[in-house]
Amino acid sequence: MFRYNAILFLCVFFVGLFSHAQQPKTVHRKPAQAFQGFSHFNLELSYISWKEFVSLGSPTGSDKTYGDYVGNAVTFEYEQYWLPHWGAIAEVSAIFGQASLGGRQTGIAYQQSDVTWWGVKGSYRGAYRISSQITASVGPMILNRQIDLPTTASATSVQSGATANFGLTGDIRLILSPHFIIRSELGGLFQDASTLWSLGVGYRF
Amino acid sequence: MIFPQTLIGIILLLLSFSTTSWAYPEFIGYGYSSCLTCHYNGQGGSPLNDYGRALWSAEIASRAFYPKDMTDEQIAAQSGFFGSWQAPLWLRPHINHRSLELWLNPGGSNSESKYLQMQTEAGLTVQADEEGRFLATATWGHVVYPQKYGQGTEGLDHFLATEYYVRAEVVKSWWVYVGLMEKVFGIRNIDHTSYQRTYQGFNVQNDTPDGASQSQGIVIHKIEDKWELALNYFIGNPYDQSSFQQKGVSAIGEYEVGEKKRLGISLMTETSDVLRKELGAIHYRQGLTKGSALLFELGLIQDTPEGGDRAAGSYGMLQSMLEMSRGYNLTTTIEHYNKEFKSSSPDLWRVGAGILAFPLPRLEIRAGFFNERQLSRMSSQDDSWEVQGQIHVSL
Repeated sequence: MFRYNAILFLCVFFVGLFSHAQQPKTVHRKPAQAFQGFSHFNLELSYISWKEFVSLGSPTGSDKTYGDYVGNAVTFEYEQYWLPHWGAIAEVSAIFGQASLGGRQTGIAYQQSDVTWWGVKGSYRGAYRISSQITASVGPMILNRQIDLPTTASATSVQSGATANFGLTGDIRLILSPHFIIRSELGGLFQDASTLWSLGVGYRF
Repeated sequence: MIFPQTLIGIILLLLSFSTTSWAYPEFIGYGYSSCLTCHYNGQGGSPLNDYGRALWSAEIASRAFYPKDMTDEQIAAQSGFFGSWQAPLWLRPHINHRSLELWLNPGGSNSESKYLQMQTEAGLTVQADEEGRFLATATWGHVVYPQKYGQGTEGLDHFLATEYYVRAEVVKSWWVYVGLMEKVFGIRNIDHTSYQRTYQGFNVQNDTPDGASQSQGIVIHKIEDKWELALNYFIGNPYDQSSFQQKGVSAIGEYEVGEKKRLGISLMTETSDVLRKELGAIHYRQGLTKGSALLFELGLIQDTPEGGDRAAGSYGMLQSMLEMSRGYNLTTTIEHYNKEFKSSSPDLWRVGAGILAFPLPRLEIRAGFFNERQLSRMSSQDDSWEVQGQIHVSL
């Protein structure tokens, strides 16, 4: 599962590599006072990972461990700028992948891998255009993921993170050619979960 | 315990966004594609030449501490080792110090801090002609024994030559280097804690089975406007124990696929008594808006220990340096490493951001944080965090 995602991630980058050779369009800027604002739609494919805290229960006690969620995100974004440097970005993503949980805790034996999950992720971020090719943004995110966690004879109850979660995220977007972008994201989920990051490539309409 | 660490990470990221960033091969963002422009060694990493010193002062470092009526040309004129005094060509000294303070899992129950002396050295370059077609350079440094790195007993343990070579432009645009130099391979990322450097075997310490970055040998370097090619034959680092000395060949080629866009390939094969190592990589550098750039490298590593099984794996690096204002840059890094193409071999990921500042000529300050995650089908474990502070003084 991890291998598949790593290969997909690397393939996306390899393909992206050869789209860099395009010459950027010449941008004729209007005077600042004439700035009318502008907007773009982006479609992106990302490799995404986050960690959740897992609680295990058995008739005799409880234990804690970790869960790694790894997968892909297909993201649709709308970015709008009202000022030359300032704007906002709205994102909605379909996310899917597989999770691995447990394996290192000593109290209750439990280890699962390749457990399929799917969900949606959204964020609304304030954006700052550092330059014509570089944008940074930060804002709140929500994430809802669905997963059926198997129980075992030793772990009769398994609770991983939260089905609906929220957090804070930030990203850097590099516009490598008029239509090709690379986006790296780092954030945190606040409810029984931890760091989330993603790396994606996208097409800018 | 992770929650506050995540919060710290986010706060640091937000703080990073409010300032600036950048890095060295990333100077393609200033339009400088070849290292030879600024370094005596055309592959980069060795002392700066006169032009490189002037460029650092007049274009890269902040000028906030200089009077407003002082021009960049006047600042550049003070960039020599002796300031504005024009020393003769045969007298080009240099002194460098670089050290790193590393905090692992700050705020956690398993937190610890380390001080690492990375570079403390001095040297001299003797140039025979104005154009630098013929020159010799040597650098001596105090190097810490590897077993003492970060163990609290760090210090200046032994004094040895870290680099020495003669350089000649034997035919126009054909450069030959002979001596002790860093081996030719891949993007010369100066972050020696990165996966891209760690697992390639480019260690700054001696006597590591994986190999040292510096080796005696010969480099032939051909440079044209749109492309360059370098071939390196090396016979090992003389300060390594003989069983660790790596002998082999490596090559790097880069082609300019567009303005401020360089696509390259690197290959290396080397053997010591304890390890046979083979590397291959593709790499790409692109300058963005002025002072900003993107680096990408994707490579394969195959290690065959003496008497052991062959292990083939891969690494990847995506790094950006984004100029916020002159002298102040934001850096972002995403790296991946997998020792073996086997399901039992975990994937390591390293994601981070930081600040790279040149507040003054001759001074570099870095601060950053990294999240390191190990992904495995066998078990899941807590992330680790690193916070780094680095200072580099180059006289």
